[in-house]
Amino acid sequence: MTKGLRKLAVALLGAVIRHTPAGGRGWGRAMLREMECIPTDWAALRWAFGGTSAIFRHSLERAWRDERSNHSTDGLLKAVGKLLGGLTLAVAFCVGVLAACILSITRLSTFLVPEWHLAQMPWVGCVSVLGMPETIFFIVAALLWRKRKIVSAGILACAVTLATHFFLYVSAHG
Amino acid sequence: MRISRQTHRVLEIFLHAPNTWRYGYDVSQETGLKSGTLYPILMRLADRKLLEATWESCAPGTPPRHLYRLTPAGLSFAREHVLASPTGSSRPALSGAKS
Repeated sequence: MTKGLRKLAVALLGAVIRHTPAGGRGWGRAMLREMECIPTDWAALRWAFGGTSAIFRHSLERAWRDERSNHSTDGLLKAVGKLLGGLTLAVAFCVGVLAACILSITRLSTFLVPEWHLAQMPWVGCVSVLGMPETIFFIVAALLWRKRKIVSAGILACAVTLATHFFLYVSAHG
Repeated sequence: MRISRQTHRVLEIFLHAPNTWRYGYDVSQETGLKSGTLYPILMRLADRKLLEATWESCAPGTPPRHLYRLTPAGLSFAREHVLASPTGSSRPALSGAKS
């Protein structure tokens, strides 16, 4: 009977070691080896039950930790993707607006009201390159601020870049 | 980090002879902890690099036994916690070391 108990204990811990993930196997083997030093068979069986529960808990804890770290990686990737997507959208919008402003005022005015000679007036350039786009950028950024903060911030960044570029260009070239 | 009474007891045992490698069964006997309580504590301490483990080198044909002792970080951790509360009775009974 007692021999059977020890065999059962060894078989139980052996089965647990075989089915446990690699990280817990060393601990399982350590417990199995210690079991040989336990004098009574009942104590060995109790040791095996305790060892089984310890390995099970260790595997669960490790699985939970891995799951958590995977989730945090996913979260980070998602956040980076969202940020890049928002900024790309903002830049695309700004480039579109800028191109439309430059083309619309100079070209359309010459086409629609050629007698005004708007294309030759210096202030028209300022309005089409800076005034109009900046106004549109700030209005759109304000409208999007609550719901699409990243896009809105991207548009504001474009507005600041454009203004800085404009003033640097004007100060350098007169 | 707060530690349980059981972890406190394990640390106390290791602190008695800090350089001595100990067997799991001996620690279990000295602390009175069952394998289901002792090993999760050892695993957690090892995960946090407070405990080092090695396989005993022995005669060929004899399976090796696992040995444990505190790392330098574990020693200072144990000194800090065990010496601060020698009996460990004032601590809440948690299942293991918690951060």
